[in-house]
Amino acid sequence: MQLFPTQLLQSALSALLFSLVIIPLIRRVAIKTGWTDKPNHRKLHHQPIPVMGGIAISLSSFMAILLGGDINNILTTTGPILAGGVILLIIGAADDRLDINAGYKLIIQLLCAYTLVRSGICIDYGYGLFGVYHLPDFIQIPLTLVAVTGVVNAFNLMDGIDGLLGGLALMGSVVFGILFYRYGAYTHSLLLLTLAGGMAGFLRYNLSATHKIFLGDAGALFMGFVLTGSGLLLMQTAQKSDLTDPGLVALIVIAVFLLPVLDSLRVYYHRMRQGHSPFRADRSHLHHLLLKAGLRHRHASLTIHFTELFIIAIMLALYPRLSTTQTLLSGMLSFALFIQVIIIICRMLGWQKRLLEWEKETE
Amino acid sequence: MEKQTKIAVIGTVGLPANYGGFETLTAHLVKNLGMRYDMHVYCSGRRYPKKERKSYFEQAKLIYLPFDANGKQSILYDSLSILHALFYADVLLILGVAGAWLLPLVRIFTNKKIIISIDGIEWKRDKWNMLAKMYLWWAESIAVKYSHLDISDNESIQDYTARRYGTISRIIEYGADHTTPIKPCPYDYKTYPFLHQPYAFTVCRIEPENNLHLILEAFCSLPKHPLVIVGNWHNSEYGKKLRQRYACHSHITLLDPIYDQQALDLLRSNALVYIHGHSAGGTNPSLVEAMYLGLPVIAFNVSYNRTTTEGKAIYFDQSDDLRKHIEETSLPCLKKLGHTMYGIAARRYTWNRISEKYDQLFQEAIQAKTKQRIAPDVQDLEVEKLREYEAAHLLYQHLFYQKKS
Repeated sequence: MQLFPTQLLQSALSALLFSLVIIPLIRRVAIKTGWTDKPNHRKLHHQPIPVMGGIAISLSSFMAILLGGDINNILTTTGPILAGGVILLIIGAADDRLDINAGYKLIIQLLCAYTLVRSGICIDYGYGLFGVYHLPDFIQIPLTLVAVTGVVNAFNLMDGIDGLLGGLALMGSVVFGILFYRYGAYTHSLLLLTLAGGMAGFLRYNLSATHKIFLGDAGALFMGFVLTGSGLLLMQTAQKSDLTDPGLVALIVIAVFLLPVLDSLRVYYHRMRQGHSPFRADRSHLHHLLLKAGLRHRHASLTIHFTELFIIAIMLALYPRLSTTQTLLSGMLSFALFIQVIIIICRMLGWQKRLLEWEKETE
Repeated sequence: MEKQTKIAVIGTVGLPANYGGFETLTAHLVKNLGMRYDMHVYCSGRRYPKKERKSYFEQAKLIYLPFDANGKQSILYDSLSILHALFYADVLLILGVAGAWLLPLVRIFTNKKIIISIDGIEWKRDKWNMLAKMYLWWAESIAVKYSHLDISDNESIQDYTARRYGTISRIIEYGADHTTPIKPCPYDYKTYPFLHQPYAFTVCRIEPENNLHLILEAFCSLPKHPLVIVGNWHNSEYGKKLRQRYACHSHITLLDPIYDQQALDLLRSNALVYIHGHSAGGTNPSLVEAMYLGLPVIAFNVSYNRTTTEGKAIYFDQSDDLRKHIEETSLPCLKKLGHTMYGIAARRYTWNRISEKYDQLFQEAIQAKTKQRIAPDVQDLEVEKLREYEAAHLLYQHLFYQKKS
């Protein structure tokens, strides 16, 4: 069904308005029913904060789409992506309240990823990355499963400071939403852009000091899954059409997830090198490092957002001149350089603190 | 005649000395060791206009480079000096870490001996921006790792390098016996009327980390205790603001920089007490000079000042402490403190002693191969092997910088 840009914009704006209105109500419900995130020694907030952000965003998007009068179409076209997302939303919400075993969550994530694959959305082409073009069938399924669960979890791990995940998800939804529109997949575009609208409304409260609300596991898993699924579908759509170079689209999709994925891999690697489990809880993610380096929450979020945009920009700039693999590698290199600088600054500040202590010591 | 070892002194503003501690140090090294070693000193052409340039200072040859020795150009200045020195010198004495990036290459491609003095702990000083701090942080690590010997001017800095790099710095401080007590003549009383009464004195660069605001705040409420401070007030916003705020008090005299050694000695030696507000930079030349002049010292309470004065001076943390000390310390107590300070300075901070130490250092450098670590080599052995010989306890050493509690 043909949708015009103005209609898409209208729906996005109505989603925004819905979320601005609903969230205060949802906050109160969440606080009353105990759906809040309680602080502990490792977390960065000091009071219990309601965690129904994900539900708020999906509700706003739903209502905006209802208004546009096209629910049936959405459900059929984006079925697998939406279904998986909603299942994870429910599981995530249950986890926010009751603390579910990580193993169960993983299994459900794999099942949702599997439904995605069975409905045809999977990684079926190599796009020339590392010399791979054709992917044999028996690789596609496990690869997709690993990729989807990996990216969804990496995304989830980024939910550490205010505005961080919200901003990344917003960027991703807008980029994908616009690209889907270019390829004529209007319903997908509608879904993503309304989610973006809901996300923008959510961010206003996420960053507020008085009416704060968190995305929660529900929201992080939901947005992560929807974005990953949409990203995969986008890559496939680009491949089938001959509008633009599919390699470019693939790179853009990868670029959106590059920062969270590389950061998680880096953290897993360092934990294992020290002999611990990769899932050990510590404060070594990028946003933790930036906070250690002295930035405030908002500045740290913005720094990460700008770095992500910067990496995307670098990759877009280099793509015409270099091969697909080389562009990807340059993106990864930029990330590595960025992390290295941050780590050096943290080390320096650590020594400075220690020196101040020693200077004041008397025997 | 035996071939003399050629030593290149790099990183100072130049000779004749009229800038700071490094320059005075170089001047005395040249005076005392110029006969034993063939010394070459690099000077900043910016500071010595062509007409006044000399090609020799005592026994040392002077080489001029058209760059500033401090600030942004210091990297270029030091680097070019190092490269030039590689052509003739046997030992490079480098003061400051700006040119440290070249040292790995020097070690790999030449067999010149490198002695580097890392100054204070430069990278943590607030006067630098983040980029400069990162460069100095890295340069310091390169300097310590790739030099044959590194010099700290204070034990507290030696503790720091031991903790961070696991190696031992040599401690060589500064001399102070180029200062002399001077009795004022009638003309002096006219120029400096405060000489009629006892006064407290400080001379330093006007920077926040020298805590002038604390000193001025304390003396502000002590109208019966005159204070005289010599420094570069108009060089910074901090200085200008302080001068504006405090110059109106009649008992506080804020003077512009005095470069004449005699005039400075005159003002210093006739003071009743010396206030030292420095919070960084290791052993400060101004402090040891005050000690040598027999002045009782009230210093900012920081490890560097405590080590310089061997813990025997009076220390303050806040302006309230300083005010209390000024009000309550008796004259006999101050006199006794002055003697103690002089005793320490006469023992440790004379140019003869310092030059001797440098002489020994040069001799050691000529024969040095690699830098010694503070952990004994036995710690490289496997635990099981050590256990076999019942020597596993050797892995756990109480090192000198760990204070016994």
